[in-house]
Amino acid sequence: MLSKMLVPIHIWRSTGDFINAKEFYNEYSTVDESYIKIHDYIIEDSISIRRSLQHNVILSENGSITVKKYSASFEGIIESFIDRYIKNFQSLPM
Amino acid sequence: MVLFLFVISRYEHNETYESKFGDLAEIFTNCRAELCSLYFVYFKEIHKIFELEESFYDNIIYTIWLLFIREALLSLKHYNKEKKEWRLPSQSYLWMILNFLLKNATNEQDIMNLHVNEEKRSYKISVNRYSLNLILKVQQFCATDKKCFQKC
Repeated sequence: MLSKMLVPIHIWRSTGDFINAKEFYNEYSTVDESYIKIHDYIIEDSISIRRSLQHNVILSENGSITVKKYSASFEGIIESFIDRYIKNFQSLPM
Repeated sequence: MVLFLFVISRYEHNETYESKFGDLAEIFTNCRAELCSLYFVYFKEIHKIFELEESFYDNIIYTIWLLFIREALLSLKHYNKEKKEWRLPSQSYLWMILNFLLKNATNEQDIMNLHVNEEKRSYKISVNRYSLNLILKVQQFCATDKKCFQKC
């Protein structure tokens, strides 16, 4: 049964048969009414994507190293990214 | 199982898989990879490469199928039921495979059993070990025995 699906996909890919591939996608990517109920339960249970916040280490002119910490929030993550990649931003044409 | 597929198209000069298939290119690439991995699960030679004990083979097949079905159902979170379209089309490949298997199986219970608990708003998946082996056995049988073609 797996090859029943795998073989056509491979042939469509090899022969550039977009029409049949699109038809197949439209048929099997649809979600039946019976699964819509589970869809609701999945949405209710889903955990939001984890984001990681990284502190930055700054090397000052006199050679001392300091750690710059940020608050555990979206603002903190944005600030951390700006500080880390500030040199890349400066080189961009404004 | 007999497949009749006619070649009706070809790539023109300067056309590539990505240029012709567009958004579908990634979906079908993922589909192919996932299907191959599910297919290879049944080969002892593959298990040997990872130095797995032979007594675990059945458990491994069972676990991989269970995880696959779970992942396929979880991928429904990328589906927008109001617009009836995928928010992230690239994530639809797992559901496509499961949907294909469910629609083409002689009996839906051969693939999985779904127990929905409306009170707790939860669901439970159970998989029949015997039918999992059947998925491939039928396939091998048909490939070698011409008489079986019509049955499948």
